[in-house]
Amino acid sequence: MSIIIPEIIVLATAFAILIADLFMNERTRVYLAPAAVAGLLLALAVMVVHTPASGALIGGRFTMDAAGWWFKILFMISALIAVLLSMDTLDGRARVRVRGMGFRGEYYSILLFSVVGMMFLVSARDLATLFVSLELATLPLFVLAAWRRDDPKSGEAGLKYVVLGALASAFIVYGFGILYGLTQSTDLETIAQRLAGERAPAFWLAAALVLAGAGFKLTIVPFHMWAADVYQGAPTPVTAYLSVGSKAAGLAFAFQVFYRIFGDALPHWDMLIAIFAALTMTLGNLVAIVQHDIKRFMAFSAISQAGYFLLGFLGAAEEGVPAMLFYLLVYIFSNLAVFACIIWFENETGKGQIEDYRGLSLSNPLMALGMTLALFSLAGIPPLSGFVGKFFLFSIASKAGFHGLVAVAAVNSTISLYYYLRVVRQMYIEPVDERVPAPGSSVSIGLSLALLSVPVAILGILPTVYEGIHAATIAWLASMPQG
Amino acid sequence: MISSAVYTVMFYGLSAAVILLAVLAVNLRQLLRAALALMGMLSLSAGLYVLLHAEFLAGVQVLVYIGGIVVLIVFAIMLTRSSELLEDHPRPLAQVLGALLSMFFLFVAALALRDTRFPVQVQTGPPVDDVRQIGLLLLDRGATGYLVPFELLSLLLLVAIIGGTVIARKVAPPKQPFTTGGDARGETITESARTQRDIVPGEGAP
Amino acid sequence: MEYIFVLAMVGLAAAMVGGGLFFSRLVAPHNPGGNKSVPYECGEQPIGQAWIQFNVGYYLFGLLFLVFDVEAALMYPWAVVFRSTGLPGLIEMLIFVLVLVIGLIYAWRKGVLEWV
Repeated sequence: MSIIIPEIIVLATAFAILIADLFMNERTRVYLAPAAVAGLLLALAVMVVHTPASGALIGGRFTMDAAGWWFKILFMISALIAVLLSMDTLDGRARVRVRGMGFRGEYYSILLFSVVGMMFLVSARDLATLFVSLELATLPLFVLAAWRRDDPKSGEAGLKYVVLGALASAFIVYGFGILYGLTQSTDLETIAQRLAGERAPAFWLAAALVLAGAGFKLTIVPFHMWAADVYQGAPTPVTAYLSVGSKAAGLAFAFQVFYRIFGDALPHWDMLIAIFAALTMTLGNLVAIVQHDIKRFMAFSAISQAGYFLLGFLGAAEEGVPAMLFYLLVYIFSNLAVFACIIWFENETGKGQIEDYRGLSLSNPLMALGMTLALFSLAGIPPLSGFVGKFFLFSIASKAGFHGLVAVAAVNSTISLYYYLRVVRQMYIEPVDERVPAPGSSVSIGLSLALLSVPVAILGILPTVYEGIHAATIAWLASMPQG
Repeated sequence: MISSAVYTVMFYGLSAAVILLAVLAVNLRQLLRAALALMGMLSLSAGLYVLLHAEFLAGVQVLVYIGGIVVLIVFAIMLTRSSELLEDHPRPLAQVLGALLSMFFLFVAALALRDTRFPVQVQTGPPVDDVRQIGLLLLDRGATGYLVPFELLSLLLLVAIIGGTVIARKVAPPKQPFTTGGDARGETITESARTQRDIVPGEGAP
Repeated sequence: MEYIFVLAMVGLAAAMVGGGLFFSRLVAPHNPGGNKSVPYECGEQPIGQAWIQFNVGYYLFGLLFLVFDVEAALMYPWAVVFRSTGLPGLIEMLIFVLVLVIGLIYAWRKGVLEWV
């Protein structure tokens, strides 16, 4: 029974916040964010201390395994940091307030509902749960993207996201329908068993449809076009959560589908995955170079990062999955650290162009340092965790024999260093022509940046985390039916 | 009893009508007429479900899609200022590419589905009393049940209520939009910063 | 098949409506234009256009209706098997309904149900 307790805690927190919000006034609503943080921390604690790493409930329809445990931890950490980063904006502690950002109770509760959806997503073992939980994970994101009701850009972001998200869901449902028709089962394990062996033409159609849907969620290159406008238009704290939460959910979905349903067909798709990976990295990078708006810039950076994740699907599962999970961890920390600085900067100055960051190293050296560290980690500069994460992924692609792809990835990594350095140059090197008023500081954002910077710096040096993920993957693979 | 020839004719007739109405729903410029075409398409799909012995699905289709979603779509159209779509001229290249892509997808999908033998076809005879079976499956806590997605669905609907309310509700701007904690200084800074921020670039110097 | 009557009913209804329209078209004089195309306003001169912008409240009512519509559709199979699933089934359904009741309370407290 205890494997579902973290989900229940998050769910209970979401309901508590939603109901409490109805009976509070604007002044007391500042306690809602700490309540969300407390709930997530409690769920994380239960997850770490108490929950066994494997188990099954409700006849195996809700299942926990070691790899899923890591995914859930990552979802909760993303949400926790996202709440910390949203607090200032929503409570109006920002110096330049974003208008139209009310509805705090609803904000935190549907953010938590989205986390619940993601957690059920990795525990799902049948098509119906997989689909409904994917919807539960993404529907709140559509709403959150459109949260600023007096900003047409936010509305546009929400609309684009919901239309393209619905299209992706339609693809996925179509694919699932064909899979059910082929196997007469919704159970992932049974489907995989019945699909093994001879493959009907419709199987490839179903696979292509499901992969296209997963590609939308992961912003893989022909399906990436929603990302830039949505990231730019959504309120910045929401963008921060989108950039990690939706990517983690997309990866979890791809993980479920690839390894549980299409397991033994995966080697046939190596070439296709490699092409998508190369396209995604290259296009994301090339477009990121010319961006001026920092959120749009981060959107294309996130697209190119999605390309690196795909490398993990190339090799054998016992190496690919830990590398992907580790890089996801690193990506979440680094990206949220960058967004912590972006949100703080926007709160303090109301500006969001890369050129506006000029002279930040003088006016607030700590923030500039945190942002530099995180950007270097995203670029993959050696001692930082991003380098180690990329190294694992590259070595998997290289072991699988995709040397050309590794070369492309390495070139892309270098290009990305160039544009990440553009931001750093603005902060450190560009001459300050006007006296920038010293921006203030923020407790919650400073705290989250400090919390994030430590793992960004040391995760690559400390081998324990990667070893933990690796051991978890081995345990998960051992628990899989017939390997 | 209806002979299988009549059945086949009805199936293809309904399918053709559904496709025709779907095309109309996409192409009609008058939004209300498009909504009407959508409604017709959905009702005829319900007819298809009945033909395929999915009576419960047909009932849900009428109840939810025609009674609920089309009504919602009509309300959404009535919220807008004009009943007609603005003229939209996609580039010819985009049109051709889109058409080619759609044709290609249709072709591939049709070919793949034609050449596949679905095991479901082998099953003979309609399922008996499907509402009963659906009810049992929805509430079943066992290995074949769908209790988890069923309960998750209620959360999904709740999120829909909250999201719809937040996005669509017309609220008067509150006198004090955020808790300031009595921070008067912050308030004044906000005002000046807000006016600075509101200046659109290119509309003149501040 | 048992749906033959439904089919006959649909056909009959279509024939009555379509036939009525067809015959009135056939018999009635047909010269449109002028005051005939003006919306009927009880003999008054209409002000503005027939196309008015709806209050957003309609939309929210529609949304709430849709949500509870889906709920009702899902409760129907439960009602059919209520006797055989017994108390556990009742509890499962109560959880489902309770979540939506929270949604209703939410909408109520937020003033969605108030008509302006």
